[in-house]
Amino acid sequence: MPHFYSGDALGALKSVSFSLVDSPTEWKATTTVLVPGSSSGHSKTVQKLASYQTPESSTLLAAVHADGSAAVHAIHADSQLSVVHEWKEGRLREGQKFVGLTLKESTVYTCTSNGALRRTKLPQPDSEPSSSLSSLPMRLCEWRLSADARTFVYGGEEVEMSLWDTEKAFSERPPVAEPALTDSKKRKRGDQLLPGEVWRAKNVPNDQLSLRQPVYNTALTYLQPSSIPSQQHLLAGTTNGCVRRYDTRVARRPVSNWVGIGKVGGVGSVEDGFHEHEVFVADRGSTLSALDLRNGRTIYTYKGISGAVTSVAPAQRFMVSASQDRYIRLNSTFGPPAEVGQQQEQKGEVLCKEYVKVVPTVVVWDGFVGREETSVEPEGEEPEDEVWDVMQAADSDSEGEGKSAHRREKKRRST
Amino acid sequence: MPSSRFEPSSIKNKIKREEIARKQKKEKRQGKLQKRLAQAKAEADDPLIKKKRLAQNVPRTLDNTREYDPSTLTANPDTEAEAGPSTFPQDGDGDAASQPTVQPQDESAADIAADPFAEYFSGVLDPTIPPKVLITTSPKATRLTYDFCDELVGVFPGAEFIRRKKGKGFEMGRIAGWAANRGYSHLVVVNEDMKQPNALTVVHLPEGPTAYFKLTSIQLSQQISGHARATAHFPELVLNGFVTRLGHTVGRLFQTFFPPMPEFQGRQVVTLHNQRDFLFFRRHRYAFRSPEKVALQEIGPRFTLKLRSLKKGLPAVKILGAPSKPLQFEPGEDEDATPTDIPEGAMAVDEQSEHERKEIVPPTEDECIWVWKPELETTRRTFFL
Repeated sequence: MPHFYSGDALGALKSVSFSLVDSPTEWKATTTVLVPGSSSGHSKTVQKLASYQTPESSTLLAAVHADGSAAVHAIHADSQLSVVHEWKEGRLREGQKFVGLTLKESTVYTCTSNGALRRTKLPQPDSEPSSSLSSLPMRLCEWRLSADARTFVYGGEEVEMSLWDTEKAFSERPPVAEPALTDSKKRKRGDQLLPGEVWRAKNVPNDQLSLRQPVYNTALTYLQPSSIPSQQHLLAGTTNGCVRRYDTRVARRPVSNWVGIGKVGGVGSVEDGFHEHEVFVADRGSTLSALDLRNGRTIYTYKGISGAVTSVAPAQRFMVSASQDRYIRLNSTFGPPAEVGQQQEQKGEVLCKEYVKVVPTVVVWDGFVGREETSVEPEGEEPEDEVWDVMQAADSDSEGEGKSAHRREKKRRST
Repeated sequence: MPSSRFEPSSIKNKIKREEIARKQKKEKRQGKLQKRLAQAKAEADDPLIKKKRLAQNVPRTLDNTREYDPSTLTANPDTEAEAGPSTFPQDGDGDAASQPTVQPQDESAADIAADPFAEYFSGVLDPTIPPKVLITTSPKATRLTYDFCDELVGVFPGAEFIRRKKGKGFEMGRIAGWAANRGYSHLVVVNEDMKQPNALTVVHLPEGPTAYFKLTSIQLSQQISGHARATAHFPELVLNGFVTRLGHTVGRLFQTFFPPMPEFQGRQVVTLHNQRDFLFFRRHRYAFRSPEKVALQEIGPRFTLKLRSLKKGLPAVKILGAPSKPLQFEPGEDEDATPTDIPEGAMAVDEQSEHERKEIVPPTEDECIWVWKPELETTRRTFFL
């Protein structure tokens, strides 16, 4: 029973959970409104959402809104909501938006498109809330924190993918004298890493007409969590529809650059899947597909999506997508074939779609693993047969002929 | 094979066979006619029978057996005990949220109230000033398209036709940006292909959405026999059969083309009738011949639209040759250390003045709200508007 949280264009927070009804293929969604939306336009639009499962079985849900306000809610077992901490990002200018939000234990990281990075420590029983600030370049489109919170990466319009050390970014305050420096010695500084920056990508080579290709990273994600801060695998999507894979150990240029993945309006979001070599890519035109990371081929595309996908949330065997057509869809996922280039046998499809009345802007998984495993088991056909086969083998001596005949028949059916 | 009925096809003589067959057919026809006449007579005596028959004999059409779409702003007919036919006539002058038969939930109403057309419905605009509409064509248009544009100018009270300029730098998005800065509320671009107008792009200014319609079956006023003359009065508007949330968006988009208050003395009605996702555009003049009877005279033009895509903002303009920009940092770095309420008060003042002269620039990338794909039509009874 996968469970998700979504935020919408009017600022409402909802909890969406999917469950099986009657047959093993029919899914049903139940939506409950956690925080009602405003009735006064889009000033409270939820721009980013993050959830964290605390050890004491409650969920922390952080949301940032278009007007710069941010709040962390605690959701208790009986879906009671309480506000843990609220603050306002004063550096969010008009026309700018939040590009990143991560909730890690009791620390919230937010980043805006004009580079206002903030780390907020949530109030603990023995400590007051505190926040530390840092500043990054402007024109960002996406900001992500790594799984172990030691590094983060960003990219944007004319901003190359860049990997930073989180601690250094907050401890050293580099850019105070920065604007003057960049103006005067632009050429020299262009390639130099900023204090705290670990690695920065380099633009792809000029095209066959030797024209420079514009840098416009619209979406990015970490692949394969790594413990060494400077060794990361990154994936970026650009506005002209390319998906690029970076390996920070190897090169500053992308190790692979797959062209033409985003068909309309460029890549909207990329998200690492739970299967190996699987990644989900959505464009701004209504395509959502799964990609094989080994060769950059689309292994399948989800059918029946009529609006641009705003947010993708993989959750083990499932994936949930929120889209501009006001639907939240539960999709099934299947990993890419064992060997590159083989035929993809099972393709993911939309299992269930829920109309949510207001455009959902972001959806996140609650990260609860245990609950899903229990409900998934009885679904498949094959595991059941296996169970019967094993049982039969163990006590075939004591049982009569009828049962083993039955078993033979069953085997025949299954083959 | 002995059949119970005599088959003329079993006769071997051709002349005889034809004769018999003809006779049989005639008998059948006459039988039907007699039945109809008898029914008409019975119904003339007792009008209740006719009423009962009409109530019982509702033909099943694609339209009234359409698949339930959860975005329909009505209750699900499957869960409700009784539901009417699938078309809900909607009066163009009433707000969609305040219809008596259609009761959208709270959230849907809030969503509709927050859409880009909300300003028109809030009543802040002067009802006597028609919205400014800029009509233009695709580059290199020809006669037929210009004729059609002339008709469109006659339909929208605040419309103005400007020829599409030749050369580079006149992309649709850029024109939309200029028009928005000059106070236009809509941009209509008539696209031409094979010397025929074939599509209509409708942009709501200043912040979208952009709708792209397929345009077919154009009949200009001239081609309609017995057509009436149009007058410059603000017409009334009838929007028919827009039931889903997407349909409401399209309906509200068309509603904003016309001044909120019609001039009734003109007795002109513009109709946009949605049937199976085709939008039929008609314009009529009505006349009350007697207190019960109303006569309609068509003014024209006629055309049919079908929604192909709906995009979020203005049409995108790609700037691929832009020079690279260096990394830039937000100036005034230490401002954030101060509490947020001090700059906010100062900002609110100049924000207002800045809003007045804020230049509207087209986006560099499109974002689709809805786009038609063949795979969406899983059955012939799936409709989206």
